[in-house]
Amino acid sequence: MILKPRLNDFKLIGFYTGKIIIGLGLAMAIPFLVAIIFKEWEPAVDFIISFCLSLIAGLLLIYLCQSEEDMKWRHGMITVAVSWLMAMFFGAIPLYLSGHWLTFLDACFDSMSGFATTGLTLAQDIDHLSFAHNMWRHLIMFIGGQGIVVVALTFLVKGAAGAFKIYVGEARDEKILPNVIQTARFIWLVSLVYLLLGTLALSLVGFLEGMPLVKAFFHGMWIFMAAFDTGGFAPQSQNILFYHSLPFEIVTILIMLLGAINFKLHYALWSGNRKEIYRNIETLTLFITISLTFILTAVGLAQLNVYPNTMAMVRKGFYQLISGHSGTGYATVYARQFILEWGSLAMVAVSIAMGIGGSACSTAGGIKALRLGIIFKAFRQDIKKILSPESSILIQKFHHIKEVVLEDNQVRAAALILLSYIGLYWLGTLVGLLYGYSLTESLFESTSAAANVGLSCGITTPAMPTALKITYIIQMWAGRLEFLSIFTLIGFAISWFKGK
Amino acid sequence: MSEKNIFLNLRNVILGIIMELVFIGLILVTALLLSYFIIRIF
Repeated sequence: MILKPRLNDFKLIGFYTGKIIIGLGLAMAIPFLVAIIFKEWEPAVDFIISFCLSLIAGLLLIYLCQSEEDMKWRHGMITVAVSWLMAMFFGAIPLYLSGHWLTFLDACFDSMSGFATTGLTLAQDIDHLSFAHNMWRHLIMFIGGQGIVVVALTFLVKGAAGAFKIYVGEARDEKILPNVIQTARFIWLVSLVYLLLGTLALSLVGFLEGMPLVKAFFHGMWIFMAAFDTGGFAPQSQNILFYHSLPFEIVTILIMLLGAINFKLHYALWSGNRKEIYRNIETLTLFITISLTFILTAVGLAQLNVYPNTMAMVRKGFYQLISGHSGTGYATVYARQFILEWGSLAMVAVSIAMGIGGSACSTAGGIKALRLGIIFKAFRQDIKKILSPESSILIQKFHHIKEVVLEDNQVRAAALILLSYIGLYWLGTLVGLLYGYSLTESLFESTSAAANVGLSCGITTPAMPTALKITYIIQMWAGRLEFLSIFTLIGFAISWFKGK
Repeated sequence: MSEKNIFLNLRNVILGIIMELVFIGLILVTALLLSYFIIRIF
């Protein structure tokens, strides 16, 4: 029997959503400080207005929705789904006020793209965006990659009682440490260590390539934030192509792949279990899928003689492939080159890589290597069963931090998410086809949005149809949260009408 | 488990980071070799 939602259910959801909105408002202090440092007074006002609006909305929600009931699973899930929509809305305000986005919907598109670590953008004249707004664009990517809820868990939620329920809603079903607050803090620890190393490396490369020190530092920090959180925003409209630098490309490849690694694996390696990287089902699956999709990409490009030498093939073909596979979306080619030069085989190969994505419990999107590995193991077990005597009992194991016996519920969960992603990829593809784009273009752009990648073949522009913008926003939202919390929200809405 | 679990041994952290970089290096070398052979074949 489905129960009709009570007032207390709404209060619980509203209370935690309010806290998360306040957290988001507080994060605006960072771009505000940047605006003050660089004497960007108009952007500073944009952030004051946005901060005040977030604070008022958050405090109102907390004041109106006080409840003494404990949070249940459905509350956690719905809080996450609603919080992400609220984050998109409030995060879009400073972007819209900057005047670089034509409509508020365009600003919402970029805001969701940032939080969901996608990287598709509808910004106008990005090369002249203020330091403060650039800081905000990259910061929301960093916050979204860590998980808006992870951020709130770390700083705003005391006690772990209800925390795990909202943590799981944000597509992070793996606890690294027994306590979810500690898990959230470990995720921050890894990210901050790499933030320091990555920013240093990129700033140094930028400086040695001739950029002024301050600009090199900020570009280094922004590119790191968007690369490690597998986002894909860049401070220049030409994306990574702007830098024309091999060392810059190598460092970003390293950061993108580091971002695509499971935080649980980071923990295992950092705590002395170094052999794990060669035994883990996820790293093995990633290695195989990267190699196979790159072979397809390279064959497609070689057939058309697009890049005639090894170095060009790696800097262009492999870079876009890794960028797609890790879910980042950084590009060293122009968007239209995919359509005009790359050909269908290479584009489909990159689409497959984007669809697979990085590791579970990482900042990457897509189906995830762990699920693919589990489904492959299940296939192997079934084939073995058919070939073995009927009386034999087969036990299939896989290695993920420890030896795990493969069970039907794991395969079912992995298969359901895989099917949901495939459905989501096709939804955007169909809408693209309805608007007259070719199948390859539509599939590429839709997969890029739903798997939170951000590579574009040129469909995503401010002039694109409004329905397509909304479709991609929904795809980015659903893809980042991995469906469960969104299905719960839909179920909750239905129970409002059909519940008893 | 205690709060200090997230504060890891520095040596292990550095070796862990090196292992991650070695893994990524392996992917890069594989890509270079694949590119070389595929370009030669086609």
